[in-house]
Amino acid sequence: MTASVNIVVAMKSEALPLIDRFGLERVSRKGDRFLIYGNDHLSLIVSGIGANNSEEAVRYLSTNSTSADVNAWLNIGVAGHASYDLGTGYLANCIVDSVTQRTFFPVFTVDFGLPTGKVTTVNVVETEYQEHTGYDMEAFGFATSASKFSTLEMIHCLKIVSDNRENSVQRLTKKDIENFIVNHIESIDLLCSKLRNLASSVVQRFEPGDPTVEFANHWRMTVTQRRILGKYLHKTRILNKEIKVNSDMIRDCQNTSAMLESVRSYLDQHWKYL
Amino acid sequence: MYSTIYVEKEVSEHSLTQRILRQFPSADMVECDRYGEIFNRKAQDFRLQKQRPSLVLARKYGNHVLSVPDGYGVGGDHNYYFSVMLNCIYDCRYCFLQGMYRSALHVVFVNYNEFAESIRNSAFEHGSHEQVWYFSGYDCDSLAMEPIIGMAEYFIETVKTLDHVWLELRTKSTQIRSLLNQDVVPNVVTAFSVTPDRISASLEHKVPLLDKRIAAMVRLQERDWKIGLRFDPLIFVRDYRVQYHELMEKIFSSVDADLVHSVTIGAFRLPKEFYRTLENLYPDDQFVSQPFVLRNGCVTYPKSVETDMKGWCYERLVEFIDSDRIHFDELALESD
Repeated sequence: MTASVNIVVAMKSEALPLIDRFGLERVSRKGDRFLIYGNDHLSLIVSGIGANNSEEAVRYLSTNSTSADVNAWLNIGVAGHASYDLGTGYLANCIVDSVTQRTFFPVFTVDFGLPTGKVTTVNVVETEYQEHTGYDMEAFGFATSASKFSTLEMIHCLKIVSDNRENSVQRLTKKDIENFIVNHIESIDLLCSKLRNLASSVVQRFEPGDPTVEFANHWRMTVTQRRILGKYLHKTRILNKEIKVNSDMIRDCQNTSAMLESVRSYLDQHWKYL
Repeated sequence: MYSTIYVEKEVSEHSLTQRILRQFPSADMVECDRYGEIFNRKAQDFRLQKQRPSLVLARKYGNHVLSVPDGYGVGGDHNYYFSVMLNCIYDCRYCFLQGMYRSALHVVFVNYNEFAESIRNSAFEHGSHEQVWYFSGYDCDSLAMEPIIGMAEYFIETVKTLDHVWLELRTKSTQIRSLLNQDVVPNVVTAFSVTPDRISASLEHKVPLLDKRIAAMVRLQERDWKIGLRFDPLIFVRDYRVQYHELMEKIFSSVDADLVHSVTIGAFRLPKEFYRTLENLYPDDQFVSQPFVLRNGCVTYPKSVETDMKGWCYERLVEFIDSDRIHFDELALESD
């Protein structure tokens, strides 16, 4: 079991500084539905613009990449905002779908060291900036989709303000977008690191590997019996004990049930009760 | 303490909301329609959230006062509980809240007045000759958040004039200032949950030291406030007799046993489903991984262990306290 961070961006110009910073290699092949890049502990997918694309990209990445068992998810992208200065970066603490008015609230269990604010996901580019919110086109689709594959503490959206009432979105160039990301690359790096730590902390709860493999080579077990044995062996490890498949207590057992009973009895005898 | 506070729009102008928000000026305030948009949704990790819980301020609709589960109580004729807060600032590994809620966020219902009204209404359904109890420490610690939310202060005022009504404030905290700052109210019992030092250090994270809690008990007794002792849950360890004996000696060398209102004894037990959740949250925890058994729908100790522990504790306690002030949880009365 490993921990990883999956990044979803809408545009290639948002991806380029991240590919450069994290030394990502292209994973997807020509003709694949999405562009995907990755390294050992980070994957990046270019979703295309829009909530539906973002939603689909999350689903695609979760099933098609060389994925880890516990993933944190991060949407990075530019957004318009009514009042924030250009270049301001912030994490979404409330994401609203402008069409349905449904909301998604990311859960903060770590201090990411970034300001937070509201994001409204719209279908068409917002130029009025009426409310005190950021306007993007992906966050809601991303977040609701990611919540099917991870817990809410590990799903976050970083928005960087690229346009506001004084600075029209129409004048925004690909190079501008790239520069907005570049200017936040240090905080993005730190954010990814903290998200990966969160995912790692979940991974660390579980013992690596299946402790029953060797037993399964010697004993015929039903799925239920194997699950029970796994539980016993896991508890044995918590006690810093080990039961070997060729130990006397196991070797002499006549059948699987007797073997399980023997393991259980050993566990009861050695339990420390704190 | 809180870096994010979610506030239902409906209560954003409520005086208690404003009072709480003023205490966390640097927290991000996020508005929501209903607390259920944040609390207890699917795909949440209680253990991660417990590291840095957020606060949710909300209004509770209906069911402000509920009947207690079977076996909960200290001898009253009618027993109810109410929860103006969900979840706890402490992190006790045996706590059932870990299994009950998906979220570790702290929810505070600021509409105390509606809870108080329900207490009065339900109390008046019973005759004035009957004892009606209200327990406030079921879904939270009654006093741990007192300086912030003022819950005890408010509900002591509520029951002050209701002679047949009793209020239990169950706690592991030492936040007793709001009680000490007012005249004693005889129908209020501050009930302290206690476990031996070593067990507490191992299982009750962030809980004040036992010595400090005993000091709080003594201060309350000195001001004529009633206190209770809750040996619940009893935690089995190989030398539990030694540890619990030390605990009782320590308590009763400072606390006046004659003035203790009531004592309860209950072994660790969790509903089966809650325990399964706990196993998934803490698969690496020694306490959680113990060879418990399933009895009466609860995951608990083998009957022999429970009977032995409870019996032994009872025998020791009657050396200090009259037996009629000692109560057991119901699981002990049931057969396997």
